[in-house]
Amino acid sequence: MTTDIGDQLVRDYLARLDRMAHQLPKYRRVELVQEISQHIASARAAGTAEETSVRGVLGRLGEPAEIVAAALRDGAPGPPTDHPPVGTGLEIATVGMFAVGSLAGLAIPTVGLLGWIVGVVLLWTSRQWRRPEKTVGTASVFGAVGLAVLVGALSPQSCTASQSGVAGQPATPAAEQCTGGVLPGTVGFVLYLGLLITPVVASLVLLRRVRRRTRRAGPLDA
Amino acid sequence: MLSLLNTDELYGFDLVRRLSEVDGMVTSEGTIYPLLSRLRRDGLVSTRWVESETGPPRRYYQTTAAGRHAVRTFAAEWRRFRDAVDTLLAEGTS
Repeated sequence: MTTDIGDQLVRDYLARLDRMAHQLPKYRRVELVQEISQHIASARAAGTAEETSVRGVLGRLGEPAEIVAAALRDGAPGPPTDHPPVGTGLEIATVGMFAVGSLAGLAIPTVGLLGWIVGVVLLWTSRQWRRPEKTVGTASVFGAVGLAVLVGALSPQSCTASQSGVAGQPATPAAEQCTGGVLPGTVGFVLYLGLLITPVVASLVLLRRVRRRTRRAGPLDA
Repeated sequence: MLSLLNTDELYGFDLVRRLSEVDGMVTSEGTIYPLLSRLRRDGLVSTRWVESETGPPRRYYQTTAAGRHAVRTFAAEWRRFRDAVDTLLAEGTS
């Protein structure tokens, strides 16, 4: 094997490791890739018969996925930190308010809107979320409200389902007849449901980010 | 691993190689590094960077006082466990 091919194999291997190690906190990912890269260099420099083969070295190291899995198994508390562990009560409450708003919005849109507004206030009160995250959360609410109004305007005002069929023969599928709208009733309703859950989904995603961050910054386990 | 570091200060590659020489201890060498990292975070090993003549600086590992204590505790427990199993096996086969 020429050195060029060997180098390429090592680069590919380390790139794969680095990609997989994305699940780890950044400092551990850097450390892991650095150590493995040093190991490979040492093994190649040591140069016994088996180890001169880059494939042999990489084979003995194991698959990047396996190494990252071991790192994840070993838990990933962060580097030493003086910060006390932080709770996520306010953030959970934010998600809760968005959920309440969405549920209420099913029956009474104005009450739903109120819930969402409280949710947005909580969102901006939080110290755990960063500004871009707060912006995304807020945008999900205003976007949903705007689209909901639009869907409302385009949806038909009344729909009647009719079933045609002659007695004794199988009925043809129900057909819905709607008046006064551009969107068919069911499409409008599904869209409306989707918009209602958008802020909930968005805030859940944001909550997960906070949790991941606080886990990383958690206290040492020894 | 701690036991190996008890006697010598080793750098990652040497340590991994010594572990691999003990049959049945290591299936994939790469997984040793996350374990080392954990021992370091747990304060059982300490590390030190040493300039290398042939390449980038190397990180050397050595056990800490807590690490040595952990080895002694484990060794004592292991002997007790081994003796217990030996006794049971002796009774079962005699």
